[in-house]
Amino acid sequence: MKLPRLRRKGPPAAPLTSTQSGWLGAAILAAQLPQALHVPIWIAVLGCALVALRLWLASRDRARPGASVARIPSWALVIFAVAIAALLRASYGYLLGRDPSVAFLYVLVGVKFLESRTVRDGTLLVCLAAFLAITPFLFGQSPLAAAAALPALLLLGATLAALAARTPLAVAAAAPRRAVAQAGAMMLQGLPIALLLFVLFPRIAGPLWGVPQGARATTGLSDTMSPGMIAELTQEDSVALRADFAGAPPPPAQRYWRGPVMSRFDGRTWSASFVRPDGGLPTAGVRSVEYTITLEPNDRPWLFALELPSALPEMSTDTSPGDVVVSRDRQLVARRPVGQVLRYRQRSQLADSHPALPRDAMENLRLPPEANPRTRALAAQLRERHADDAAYVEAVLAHFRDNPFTYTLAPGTIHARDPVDGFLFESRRGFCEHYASAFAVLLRAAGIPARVVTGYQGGEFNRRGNYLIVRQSDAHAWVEAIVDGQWRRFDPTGAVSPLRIESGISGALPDALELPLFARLDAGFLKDAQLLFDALNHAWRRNVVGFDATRQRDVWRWLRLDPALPGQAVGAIAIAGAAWMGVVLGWLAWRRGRRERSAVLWSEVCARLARAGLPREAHEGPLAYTTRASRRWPDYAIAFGAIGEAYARLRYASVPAREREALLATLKRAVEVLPAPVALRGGA
Amino acid sequence: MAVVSQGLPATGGPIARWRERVFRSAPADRGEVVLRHSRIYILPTRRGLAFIATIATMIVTSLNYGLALGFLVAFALAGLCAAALLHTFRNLAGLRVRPGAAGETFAGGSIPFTLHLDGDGRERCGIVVETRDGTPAPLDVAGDANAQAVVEVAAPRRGRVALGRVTLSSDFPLGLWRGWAYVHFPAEGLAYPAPEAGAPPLPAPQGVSDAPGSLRHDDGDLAGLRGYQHGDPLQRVAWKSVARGAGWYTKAFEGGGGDAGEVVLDFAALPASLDAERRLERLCAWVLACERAARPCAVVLPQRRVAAGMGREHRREALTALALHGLP
Amino acid sequence: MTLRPASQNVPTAAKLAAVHQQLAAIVVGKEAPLKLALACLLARGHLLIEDIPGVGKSTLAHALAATLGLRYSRIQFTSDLLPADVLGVSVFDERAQAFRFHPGPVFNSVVLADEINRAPPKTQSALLEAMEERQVSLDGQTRKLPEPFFVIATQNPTEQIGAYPLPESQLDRFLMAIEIGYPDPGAERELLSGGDRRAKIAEMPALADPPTLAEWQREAGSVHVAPALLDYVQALLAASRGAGGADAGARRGLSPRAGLMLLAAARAHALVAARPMVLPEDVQAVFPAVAGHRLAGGARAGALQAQALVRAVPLP
Repeated sequence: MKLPRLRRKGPPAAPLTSTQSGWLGAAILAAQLPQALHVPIWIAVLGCALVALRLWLASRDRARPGASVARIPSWALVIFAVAIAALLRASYGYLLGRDPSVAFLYVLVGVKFLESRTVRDGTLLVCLAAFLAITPFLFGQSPLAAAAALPALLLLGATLAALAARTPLAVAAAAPRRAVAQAGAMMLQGLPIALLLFVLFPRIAGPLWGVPQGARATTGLSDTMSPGMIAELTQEDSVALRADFAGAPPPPAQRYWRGPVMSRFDGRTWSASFVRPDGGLPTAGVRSVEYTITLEPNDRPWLFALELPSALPEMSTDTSPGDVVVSRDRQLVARRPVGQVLRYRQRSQLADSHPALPRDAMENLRLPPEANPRTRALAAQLRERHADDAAYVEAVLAHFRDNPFTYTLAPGTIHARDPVDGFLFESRRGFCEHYASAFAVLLRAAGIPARVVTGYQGGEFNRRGNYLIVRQSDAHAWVEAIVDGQWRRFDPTGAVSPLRIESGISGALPDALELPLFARLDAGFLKDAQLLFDALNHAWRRNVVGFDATRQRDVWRWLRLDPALPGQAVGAIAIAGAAWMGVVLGWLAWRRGRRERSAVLWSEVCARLARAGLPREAHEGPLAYTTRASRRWPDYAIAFGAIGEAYARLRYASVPAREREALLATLKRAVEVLPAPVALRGGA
Repeated sequence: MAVVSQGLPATGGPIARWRERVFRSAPADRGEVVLRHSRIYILPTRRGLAFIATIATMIVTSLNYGLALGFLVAFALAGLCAAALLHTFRNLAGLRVRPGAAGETFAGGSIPFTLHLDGDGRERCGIVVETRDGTPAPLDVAGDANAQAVVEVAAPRRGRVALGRVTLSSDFPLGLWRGWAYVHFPAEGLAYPAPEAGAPPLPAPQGVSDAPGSLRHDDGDLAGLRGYQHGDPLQRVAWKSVARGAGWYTKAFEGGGGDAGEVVLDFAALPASLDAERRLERLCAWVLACERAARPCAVVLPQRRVAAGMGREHRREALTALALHGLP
Repeated sequence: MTLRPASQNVPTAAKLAAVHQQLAAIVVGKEAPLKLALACLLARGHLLIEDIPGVGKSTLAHALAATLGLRYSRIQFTSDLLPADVLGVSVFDERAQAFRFHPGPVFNSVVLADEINRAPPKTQSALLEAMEERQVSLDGQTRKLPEPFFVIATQNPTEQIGAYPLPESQLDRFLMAIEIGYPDPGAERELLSGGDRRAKIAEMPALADPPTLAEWQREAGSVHVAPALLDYVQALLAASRGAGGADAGARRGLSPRAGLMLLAAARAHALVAARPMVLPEDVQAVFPAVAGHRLAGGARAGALQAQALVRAVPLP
């Protein structure tokens, strides 16, 4: 028994018609353009130029039907492609990587198009162009990138229709507008399947093969802190992270996003200690909050968490920068720098203290011996009065409060050699890093272990999306000191400017015009619009781009599917697919039937009159029948007349669409007027 | 194709019945066939396979790089593919097929069969109707009209030629899927024997000494005129009445020896050196020659005799007798 | 039960209604034949009436001509009628020293060919050729007949002895063949009590003129025919050819040309009924008249057969 052949498409080498070439060219250009931004400019221009060249040749051929068709020999194009590969190798330094491969595909599609002659070439091109349509996502997955892929998809669908069209009706269906509309309609019909697959198709954790990360310059906190660095950072409007809370977010004063912890001080600059992954997680929680952080790439290995992390982050697997550890400083540190947007679920304790480890005290007491002598002197003076650690700390805070210190972004020049002395005794103007630094030095000088913690404080609550936006302008520095065997948090900035903690930097510096626009509180309409846009972007990140294995597991569980048994998901897809088929076919049939509502109503009338004892003869036309009915039941003559007229016009006249609706309404109303068959029978 | 008991109803076990149902190897379809889901099969075309492979590649890439949008695009294309499947199915489903006239030919030619396709109120695009002997160009069935597909079946030998199983297929709208359905009508066409090339001249007419080619008008009394019928020999038309504008009449004769002047083509009278097929071919050539020369002829076969006559109907009758000679 | 016509047809519909009304006043009680005759005229066809004398054939023809403002002539066919009596004759004019053509009665817009079966075939065919060609060829000259040109031929079915019944192939040249039949009692009463019909006809005003009629004929050709109606017409044609189908009974069935005729007649009938589209009712109304004489067995038997066909074919 011969198996049915899979393919029978006329002659095997059916040549491409000029219409089909046009469609292909349009689809390829639509697939290339979004990618053009991410390849070297000469590649971008070259790829599109090849397509344009082919289209130009085709139009020239069309203009002179008799002339021999202009062709570029295949071997020349092969040589050309090899040359492009060599140039790419020279340009990128390597060829077998993501970016050069994408660039090569970009040009290759153009080369192949230039050479394509048959419908089979067209099929290959459609496949290549379809693949090209997803390459821009390697470089960014914004809503804009998604929108940019849409024309390519529609044109690809239309191109397929044009390639398959071989009869007049099919060619008519592949006319520009109809083909795109048809492709769009079919995409919409396929949308349920697409979404179902998107939600249920099993994702795997981690990449299948090595993914080289492209290094990029980003702004953010660094692992050192010297005076002026954070002040500079607060000029940045860009977002550091966003956080979704399961419930209400904690009050502003408790929003300390801990980042790099600095233990080493050289008299001017604080720097982070080595990461030692021996930090424990607190067992008994004070008050736990759970939230999801969407971290912007910062090219640093650390992940931010609110206050004290009480669990390891649940990473979104497909963008994971490797294992995450809790350092000795209770900081979350990843193995690789965060090079892409990263989402993780995090649990924290809202505690401003945690137990100190045995060697912490020793490591956080060192001060450079010669630097900042006046500060040491002040420390000694205060220590004499306050032997108790807690009282001493309180006295230092009071020192900041009671003396005329100013919280400002522009502290002016500070003594170069002993910056802490210069700040404490001369300018008394400073930003959070000045206060934190001076505070820590004062504590260390008094023999109290202290360290500087940098991170973000506060964050803006976006009502439109119910999440917190933490910007670089929320960068902050504060101090942790061991008092009574516990690391306790002290924020000297709060002593000078409590508003900084309660209302953010704009509350503390209301007139500081140098603050970036969105860090200010009252930017009105512009700010509103920006928040809305940010909410949309965040929702996109969370629900589309961030839909990964973890989120998928949640959906599976919600659907009562066992993540361990992918067969269940496959079964669910199969069942839903079958249901979808039924629905779409039914809908198509219903849409066709809807056009023939008149026929439905007419057959209803016929059935009712038949039950009333007046069946329609098989050959009887609508007017003849309704006239007969009018004679039988003169009371309803008007209704019968309307029914006959409306149905006859709907079925046999050429009626414009608007009038059609009116006629249909008339028909419907007239049918409703008719009494039940029983009543008719009785009345007759 | 391994034809399973062509022409016989499927009997035997359930497997044989299932095979018959799936492959329609017996001409069991009567009258009009409506293509329903039980008859329609769909598999991807080569283009469809290439497209699915592309989608798979896109999915693997998206998996590796964690491209949620890559998934979305790949699945959107998969959705398009699935919708195209439904549209391909719909393009065939509900199509009504009815066998039309079967043609005739001489052995070695091919017989045109007409199939009537009715779209049941929907447009059907690019329907390919093929028989075992090739694939004609695809055709459209307009929404409110019927379409006729003429398929040709080769007739290598004389006799009845069955239309056989017909495959209706279509890859509309996107060429990703090919849907097809088998219909198997018991339609038969007729292949006449191939006329012998360079056949000897016609045998002399019986009982007449006239040279062939001149038709005697006085072989009987003119009995009168009768209305012209299609196929009457032009030599007998009453031209005078036509010229008068009185209409078309044919002269009717009677007496004078009745069928005298007819050529009797006798199978048995042919040289014994010719086998039956050769004889039939020669008779065929002669029947055609008589037709050209407008001479009445009779055909005498061992089991059959075709009375003398002329005209298209007579020619068909004579040729049919030749075609079916010795066949059930 | 008239349908609201499309707007551009309103004047036509109104005028046609007036024409119909005026005719109905003369041809009493003959609604259906009157409509058919009007439709036949609007479809640019010719009409064959098979009926006994005295049922109002010439009244119908005369009234039709008068109401539509057309020139009318009547030719009584007899066994000695010559073609020249119908077509006209060229006579040598002494003064002009040339042949002068005297046009025959056929050069009128409405021609009543009474008892056409009495004339010899030669004369019959002279008229039939003129009907078909809408022109007359005599002495190597072709003369156009007036436009519109409408022939009503009558044939007496009972008097076939010594007559030359039209051959079936010639019958095809008439778009319709109808019977008028006896009037019903009420109509007959009215007929008897009424005055002289001929005098009435003479008094009737003309409601149209040839250009108007030509316009109506054009309009009749453009009445909408829906695909569903074509399905029905096709079903009727197929049924006439025998259910079995393809080519077995084809010679006795209706030809594709007959199908076109049927549509044209149905269109005209719809126009008479002031409808912008053709309904199955229109097709059914004209089908016996159009198909009857084209089916086997003569016009009367054919009409019965056609009515049976109509009843047998369900609306699609």
